[in-house]
This record gives sequence, C-alpha cells and structure tokens, in this order.
Amino acid sequence: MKRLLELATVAAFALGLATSAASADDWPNRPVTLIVAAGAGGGTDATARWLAAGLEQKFGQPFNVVNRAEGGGIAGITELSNAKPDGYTLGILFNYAPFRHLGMGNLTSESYTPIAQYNFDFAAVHVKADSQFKTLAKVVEKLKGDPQSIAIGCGAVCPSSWSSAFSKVLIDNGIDIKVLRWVPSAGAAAGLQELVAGGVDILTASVPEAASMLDAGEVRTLAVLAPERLSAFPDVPTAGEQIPDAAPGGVFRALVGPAGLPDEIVDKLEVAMEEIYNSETFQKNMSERGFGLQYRGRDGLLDWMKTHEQDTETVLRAAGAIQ
Amino acid sequence: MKVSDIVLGPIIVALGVIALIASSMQPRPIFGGGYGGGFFPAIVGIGLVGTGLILSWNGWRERAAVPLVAFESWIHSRRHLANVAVVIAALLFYILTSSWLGFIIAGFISLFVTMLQFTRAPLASFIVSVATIAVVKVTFQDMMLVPLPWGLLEAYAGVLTWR
Amino acid sequence: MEVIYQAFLALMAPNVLLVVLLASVFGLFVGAIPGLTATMAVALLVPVTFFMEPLPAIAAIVSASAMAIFAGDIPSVLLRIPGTPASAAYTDAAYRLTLRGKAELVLGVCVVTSAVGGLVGALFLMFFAPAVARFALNISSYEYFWFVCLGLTSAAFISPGSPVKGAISLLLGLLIAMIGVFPVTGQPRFTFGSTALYGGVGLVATLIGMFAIAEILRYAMSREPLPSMAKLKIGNIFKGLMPELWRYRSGFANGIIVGTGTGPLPGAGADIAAWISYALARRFSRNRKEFDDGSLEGIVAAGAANNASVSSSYVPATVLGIPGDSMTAIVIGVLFMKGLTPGPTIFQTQPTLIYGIFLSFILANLLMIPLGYLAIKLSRYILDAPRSYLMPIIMIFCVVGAFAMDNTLTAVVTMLVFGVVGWFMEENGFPIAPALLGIVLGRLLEETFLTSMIKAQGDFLQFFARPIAGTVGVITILIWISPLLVMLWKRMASKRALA
Repeated sequence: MKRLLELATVAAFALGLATSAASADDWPNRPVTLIVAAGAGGGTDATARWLAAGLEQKFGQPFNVVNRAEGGGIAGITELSNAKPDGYTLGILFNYAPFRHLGMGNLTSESYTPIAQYNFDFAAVHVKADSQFKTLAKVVEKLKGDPQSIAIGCGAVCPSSWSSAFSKVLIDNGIDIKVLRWVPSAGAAAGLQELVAGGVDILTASVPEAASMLDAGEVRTLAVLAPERLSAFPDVPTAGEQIPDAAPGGVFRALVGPAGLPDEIVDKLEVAMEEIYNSETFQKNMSERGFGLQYRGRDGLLDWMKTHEQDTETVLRAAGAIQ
Repeated sequence: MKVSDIVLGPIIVALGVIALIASSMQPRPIFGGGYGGGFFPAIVGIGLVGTGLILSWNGWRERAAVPLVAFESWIHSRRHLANVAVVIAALLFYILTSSWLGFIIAGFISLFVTMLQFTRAPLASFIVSVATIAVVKVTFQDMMLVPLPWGLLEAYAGVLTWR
Repeated sequence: MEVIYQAFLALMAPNVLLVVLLASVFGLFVGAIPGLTATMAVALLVPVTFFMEPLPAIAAIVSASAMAIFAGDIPSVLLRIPGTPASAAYTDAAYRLTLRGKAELVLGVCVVTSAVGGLVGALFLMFFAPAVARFALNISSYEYFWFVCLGLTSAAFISPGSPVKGAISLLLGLLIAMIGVFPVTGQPRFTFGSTALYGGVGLVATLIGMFAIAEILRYAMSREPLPSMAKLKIGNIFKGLMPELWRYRSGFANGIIVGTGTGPLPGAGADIAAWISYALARRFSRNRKEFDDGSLEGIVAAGAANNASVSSSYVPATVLGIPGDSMTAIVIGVLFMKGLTPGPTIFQTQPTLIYGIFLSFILANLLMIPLGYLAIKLSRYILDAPRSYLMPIIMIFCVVGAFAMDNTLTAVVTMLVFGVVGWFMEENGFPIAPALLGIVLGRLLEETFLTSMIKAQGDFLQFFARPIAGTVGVITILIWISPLLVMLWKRMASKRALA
C-alpha cells in the first residue's frame, strides 16, 4: 500500500513537472487565481469580480477570486507578491505603501508587476448633519487656530488611506498633523456610526461609503478630495473649490502580478484590461455604484505607484511614524 | 492528563510575565495620547500573574493529595497512544504537505491513515476515504469555489474541475 | 399593507421559492457539518448570488444563514461538537441530555426555539427597524465599551467550577485576542514577525479546534466504549415538547429578548447572543444544580437567542447600511453590487425588495420546522455510522472549514494548536467558554476603550458623561461589585443577629 502511494506520488510529480514547464505562449491553459485582499462582498471584491468575469470571457479560462481579508489586506497582498510569476496568480493591489512603514513586510513597487489600474476612489470629509461646519475651509481654519479642538475619525486605523489624503491637504496648509486628535475605527461603517453618535466631529471616508447616511440626511459631505466633482455625486463640492491647490487623494485599485511576470503575459493582460475597462458593462457597473473610473496602463501605473510611495512617506514622516 | 495546580500556577505566572515583557516592548503609538499596543496586554499580563499566584497557592495547599501529573488509562494502551499520535500526525502532515501535494493527495493520505488506525479495515477505509475526498473536492472546490490547493495536480486542474 | 402584499407576491415567484429552498438545504448542510459555519455559508453564496436578481440573492443569504445557525445545534446534540460558533454555548448541556437518552427532545426544542426566535426577530425587524436603527445611532464607543464589559461579565455566569480557572481562561482568551494588528495604529503586535498572524488568531479556527479537534482527540484516547447509540433512536421530536417549553417560558422569553436586542449592536453576532442569554439563564435559574447537570433551560434560551439575533442584525444593515456582523457586512456588499444602497431611502425606492427581504426571514423560519425535522431525521444516520469512520471524516471537514474562512493554511495550524490546548484545558478543569468569550470580545474591548480614551483625551469621567453610557456603566459596575455588597450585607445581618 505504502509503496503504491509512493509510486503514484512520484508519477504524478513527474507528469506535473512535464506539463507545467509549458511556456508562456499558451497562457492561460488552466484556471487563474485572482487574489483579493478584502472580504467577500466589499467594494474591492465587487470590482474584482467584474474584472474576473471579463477576463474569463476574454481568455476562456476561469479567473477564480480568492478573498484574503485578514490584517487589513496585508496578508493577501504579501502572498500575491510571493506567488510564482507564471501568470496563474494575479491580484488586486491597492494603497500598499503604508504597511512597510508600519513594520509590516517590505512591499514596494518592485514587489509587483504592474498591469493596469482601473479605479480611483477619492477621499472625502464628512460631518454630522447638524454640525457647525459648513465648509472644509472652516475646518482647516479651526484646526489652524486650535489643533486639539476637533476629533477626526480616520474611518479605519490611523493613519488610514483616507486620513492620509486629508493629512496631505493639512500639511500643505501648514498644520502639524502630529498634534491632531485622530480617532481610529473598525472600518468606514463603524466610523460613520461614531460620527452620527457624536463621537467624532469629522470623518474621512469615500463618498460612496457614506452614501446611505447622506441619503438619510444624517451626514453631510463637506468636500471630496478630487480634481473635479464626482459624476455620481454632483452636489458634493471639491476641496479645491474651497482651499486653493488642495491635493486630491484616495485609494487606487489595479490589477497586478507578482514581480517578474513574463512580458508576453503582461501584454495579453494589458490589452484585455483596456478592452474590459472600456466595455459598456464595466463602465456602467462601476459608475452606478459610485466607483471612480481611472485607467492607467502598466507604465502609468508604475509611475503612480512611485508617487503613491513618496506621498505616503511624506504624510507618515509628518505624522511622526518615520523618524 | 491532569496536571497539578502547583505546576500549572507557575506556568500561568510565567505567561503573564512574558505578556508584560512583550507589552513593554511595544512601540509608542504615533497617535492616541499615549495608549499604545502595550496597554491592554499589560493589564491582561498583571491579571495572569495574579490568578497564576492564586492557582499556585491552591496547588500548594493540596500538594499532599494531588499528584504532580496524573494520566488516565489511555497512556498505558499502545493502541490509544497510537490513535492520538496518528490524529496529530495526520493534521501535521496535511499542514506541511498540502501546498506541495495538493488537497486531493494530502487530504486523502491524512484521512485514510487516520481511518485505518481507528477502524483497522483497509478496504473499507480506502473506499470511504476516496468517496469523502471526492465529495469534498466537488462540493467545495468545484461548486463553492473554495481555493483548495492543487499541488502536484495543478497541471490537471482544468481536466479535474467538474462544472 | 399593499407593499407587504406586493413583496409577498414577489417572494412567492417560483424561481425565488426554488432559490430559497436550495439555499435552505445548503444552509442546513453547512451548519450541520462541524467546522463549517454560517458566515462561511454566506460568504460561499456570494459568487452565486452575483448573477441573481436582488430579491432571490438576499433571500438566499437570509435562508442559508438562518438554517445554518439552527443546524449547528444538530452535531452539538449528537456529537458534542457545535456545528457553528452560535451553538457552542450550550453544546455541553445538550450532549449531557443526549447521554441520558433525550436526544429527540433536545433536537425538538432546538428546532422550535430556533424557528420561534427567528420569527420574533423577523417581526421585530419588520415593524421596528427604523425606530431601532435611529436609537442605535446614539451608540458611540463609550456606550459600546460598557456593552462589551457587560458581555464579558457573563463569562462569570457561564460555567460552573473553579472561579480562578474561569478567570485564567478569560484572560488567556483576551491575550490571544491581542495578537494581530493593533487596532489604533495598524501596527503588528505579538505576531512574531509572521505575516500569517497579522490577521490575528482566527476565531472560527480556534473554535473548530477547541471543540471538534479536541473531541476527536478525546475519542482517540477513550478506552470506554461510547454510550450505546441504540438508545438514542430519534422518533417524534415534537413529543412532550410543549410542556417543557412552557416550563422554561421565562428562559425562552429571555433568549428572544437578548437575541433580538444584541442583533442590532455592531460587532455582536449570534454567538455572543447565545452566550449572554445562556449565562443569564444560568444566573437566574431556580435550580442551578439541575442546570449544571444538563437541563433544557439554557438550551431553550440560547437556542432562541441566536436565531433571533440573526433576524434583528438586519436592522442597522437595511436601515442605515451599517453592518452588525460579518454576515450582514456581506449582505450590504451584495446589495451594493446590485446597485442598491441600503439606507432609509431604500424603503422609499425599493419597498417591495426591502419587505421581500423581511418576509424571506419569516418564510425561512417557517420552513425551518419541516426542513429541520427532515434534517434531524436524516442525522439519525450519524448515530448509526460507526464513530471510527465518522471522526476522521469530521476531521477532514474541519480542515476544509478552517481553511475556507480566510483561504489560508494558517487557520489549519491554529485549529490543531487550539485542539490540543482545548483538550488540555478541559482535562484540567479550565472552562472553555470564557476563553472563547475573551477571544470574541477582546478586540472590541480594547478598540472601544482606546478609542474612547483618545476622544476623551484621557478623561475617564467621559465614560459616564453621555446618558446611555452613564446608565449602562453604572449598571455594569453594580453587577461587578454586587457579590461584595451581598457579602457585606450578610456579614452585617449576621452581626446584628448575634447582637
């Protein structure tokens, strides 16, 4: 029995080697795994599943979404960076730069092969409906005078992607973000609850995340940190309308592979991604749900990833997280 | 396996001390007014030291009546010892080899060996194990898309996927 | 009324009914298999619901989750292994009754209390959702901190035996909860440099280990033959049920109230509802000796509580778009993917859908009685199957179930480690329930406390400054010092008697 098992194992192994040695030309000839470092049913998951459906159609092989939500996504994107660069493990990357500075892993743009960015969600600043603040400019003014007077919800751990974007605006306006009262929460929903319950005075989160509470009239959005108003939320002013040169910021999502992905595979994927991005279904799905549409090919994405790393470092240095 | 409180107490105290040392090594927080990652673990550590001391004291009072370590009868039965060893070994085997061998092979081996040890019926164990692995594979991997590892069979993932 | 009728018609469409039926069977299957949980059932449904209309998609999730929470009771009763975390609170009590040949009575109680609990929760959801959601908006980290403290207090009431060992168990649970990412700054803590531990120690994997793997280990080393399974034939599970339910009516009511009440609280799920109501039932039991020997009292309460909380957890999810637990978080995501934003406006824009969801709860809980009955009948074969075959099969399901929660092998390691730890704790008289409660609530406790301290800038009096927080805080502290007060009172009384 034991011997039989041994034999079978050896045989299977030999066969496996023989076939997996096939070149990148016939990629993909088996199902592809798409690592999504977020929970099933969340925003990242939704966009990934739309992409997966499109890619499946283009390449005729299943693209299976695998959710790896633990630890705010760090576990998932680390696994993605460590995967074999054979084109059978791809994944969705988002703001990854803070992790390295917070002592988790050593992920940089070098850890991945950029393919295409398909989404950018801008950060926004929200207040409770009956708040004294009517504009973002007023908030910044108040913080300049008395930095301790406002409790700022990060909408996640502090510093979060949202709060970092807001921090950038504050730093540019000469405010020392180290002394501000940043209040963490377990996700945007919990942050909204805090905001409405009067636990924090302002909250940073994306506009779609706050959409329910906006509709309910419980929350007002002071400004979205975007270059221009969002088509899904035309009533929300931009930060630039109130504060000159307010830097836009938020969260990007992109399809990437582990570092060292063969060029032929990246070529195929980049072409497919552009087609999917421009397809009517994808555009409709994204804009109806309030996801920001932004496309960057692999070169543009690489440049953006470097900018993202620099911006993150600036903010974290000002926050005192990097000495 | 019953261990006397006189042994367990100091272990708990030691755990508490380790928690205290570990929390003192936590970095000061960037934000949050001085309450860092070490604050809560330190409280828990103090609690563990306290309760561990009480436990040790209880054990000390009962030291005459309670043996340091007492085993139940399974320790004297080679078969039952082997049972326990096989369960743990089977799980360890799966943990160590599943990404290399894949769920189908590693899962089958773990299941078959454990069942064989429990039942001593090779043929029946083989059939039941094959059937179980097949059912789990089809329902979880194929129907519910749980990404069980393919391992060695990766090259045949396309052929082996039932849709 | 017109809306409800429209919603009823939408739900009664043959394709929707078929989806509900299939999802129910799926939920029963996942719930009844140790190692597979209700949250997992819902997560596994997401890819399937992706291609459905909104109503059948949510109705599928609703019925699968309700069924799974009930079905978790079946292996608790028959094997002493909870099928889902929500059944863990009363697994011991249920199995003790099984050993006395009362398996069918316990199963009958489980299915009826689950269905009634779920129904009451659903009615509550239908009629009070907006009002409750509005109230829930007043809850900030201060209030929530006290709620968590109250929840932890129930650890003291849950299990019989040495209070010192119970306290140690709770502290160990809290310590385990500290592993992972520090919730304030997102820095890793106690992870020993391992990426795998960034996400913390998985609750589900821990639970599967402490119950299922520990039970398999106990089976592996048990020299005494198992109690004769022939005696455990399952006949009419509804026989003699009503008198028992009537006898424990106050516990039943407590379970329904606790379950319905905890559901809308963010972070508190069906498992916490079951534990708290079990602890309350034990605390206020007239005959605690009988309670600890194994009685229906706690099962009635907790069995109703977990299903009631599943229903009422949809209150903040549908009205405000705020998830109460991991299951409703997925539901919100699915609604969102369908282009629907949960929130007050959904009542105006999609009333048929929202009432359809509420009605699907009622449908699912009504279906629970016949389907649950069938499932219980079928589970009889579990009793007939020799455990020497059954235990290894359960082991492999546990491996898959632990893995599938986060799709990581780390969970399987966690499961094995806590299997051995759980077995060792039980052997040495350390109750397991406080440790699990510590793991569940530890993170929330730290998060709410530190968030509050940051907001209050270190002023602890702020914890009492808001009306709800102040009230709950004072109640909690009174409960904590009540044993001391009682002791003092008795001492004074005896002094007076002497004098």
